[in-house]
Amino acid sequence: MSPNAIEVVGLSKSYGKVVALEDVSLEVRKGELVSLLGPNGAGKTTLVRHLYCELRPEKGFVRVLGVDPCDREVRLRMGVTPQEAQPYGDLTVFDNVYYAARVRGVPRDKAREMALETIRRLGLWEHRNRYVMDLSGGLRRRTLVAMAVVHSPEVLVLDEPTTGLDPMGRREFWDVLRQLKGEGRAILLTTHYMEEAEALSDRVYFINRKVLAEGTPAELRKRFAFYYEVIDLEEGKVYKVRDDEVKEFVAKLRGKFEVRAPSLEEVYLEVMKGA
Amino acid sequence: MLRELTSLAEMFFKEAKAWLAASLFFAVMLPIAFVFGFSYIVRGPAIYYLISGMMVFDVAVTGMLVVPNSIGWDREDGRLSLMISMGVPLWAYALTSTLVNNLFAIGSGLLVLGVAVAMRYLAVSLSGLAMLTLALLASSFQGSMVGLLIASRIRNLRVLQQVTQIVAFGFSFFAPVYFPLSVVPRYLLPLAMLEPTTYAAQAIRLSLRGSPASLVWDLGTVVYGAVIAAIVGRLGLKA
Repeated sequence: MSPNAIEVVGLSKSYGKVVALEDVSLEVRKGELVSLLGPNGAGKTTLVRHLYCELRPEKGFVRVLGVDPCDREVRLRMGVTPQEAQPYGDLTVFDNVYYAARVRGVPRDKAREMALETIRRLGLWEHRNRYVMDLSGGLRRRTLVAMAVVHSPEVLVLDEPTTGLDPMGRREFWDVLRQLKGEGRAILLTTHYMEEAEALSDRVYFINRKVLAEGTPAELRKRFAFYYEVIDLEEGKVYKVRDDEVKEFVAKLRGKFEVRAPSLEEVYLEVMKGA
Repeated sequence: MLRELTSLAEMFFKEAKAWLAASLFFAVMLPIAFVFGFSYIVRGPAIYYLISGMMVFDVAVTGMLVVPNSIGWDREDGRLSLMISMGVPLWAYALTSTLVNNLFAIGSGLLVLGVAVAMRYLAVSLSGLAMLTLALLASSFQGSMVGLLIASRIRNLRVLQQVTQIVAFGFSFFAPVYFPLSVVPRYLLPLAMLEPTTYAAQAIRLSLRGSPASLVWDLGTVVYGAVIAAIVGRLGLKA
């Protein structure tokens, strides 16, 4: 049995003459949280849309839990928050979550029980009877995640779930993700926020129509860190120093200093620049 | 799949509940206002055109306006994608949404009749009522298929809203909805016969008069709807 919850092999997709994805391959193992990072128009959402059968591959193939995601049965074992999707504003939080279970075929009583449990677990309890249209952006996003996880899916696909959230809302959302990951689910996350990817991910893919780099955040930083930032705190100056010269450089400094390896964001910018 | 469909229908009804007060107010007050207001200037047999026209407005226009716009908004808010990801086929989602919208529209159409009968503007026989129910169902089906066709082809919500308004309101005034087909000029006849509300209007008006000719127009309405349904089925609905 494959250890991969998600497997994408040689996936290509074009919109007319515009190439959205070119020979993209990636995998998400069971119990792993993997982030997809890339600029706008890099093909992240196109890739995600293949994972729940909104799009069909032109070339290559996609498997979720070893099966073509167009098989309805496998989609019932997945939870997805499509980019910019909104819960039903004219329904309460409870109804949104409850019907998300019902339309997946969960019997009435069980759906009710699962919805209440999910709402409690995701910190939506006091909002359960409020109409979604009256909620803040963060609580709407959380409702959407509750709709995605109410049936205890084995695989979660979250397309930019924290876009538009304030820092507090984002941090709260991270806790939710950590909790879901702790429950052993495979999670694929697309995001623009490097610190988010760094804080949450086991592995990261940089993509811009094709996969540019892949690895753990630490591996990527190590692989692409050709220099260090040395901050001279006395002078208030920042120097970029090659890694083989850094010891010699700091030895010459008088007073306090700070040496910093490039962040994932800097590595990302470096990789994208070279793409 | 039946459980999933009934859950969807239940969800749509619940969604409508959020607007129940306003919907009920308009569903009750609008027919009264229209029937009362227009009956002052519309007399004699012409009242049948007024009443059937209002029913067409409720039923066919719901299909061509409310159905595609509701799908357009669901698409805009990513809910069609959400449904696909939950394993709900889009055709099932669209048809359930259509069915629920139409139930409200048919109810509203019957309310128009109720008001007109209560105000003694016309009387309808039992056979007429049966034919009217058939005509309303056929018109709902036809209007909704036109609406689904528009929704399937136009993905930009702003364009969709404009097109549906033109199709639902603009064209229906050129179609023989509030006046007899016989007064349509020859050169406009082909256009009038392309306009879906032409069929619905004749079927509904003739049913109010208890004329079996209503059934012939019903047939035309259903055939029109079936052709459009086949096109929608072939083109498919996308998120």
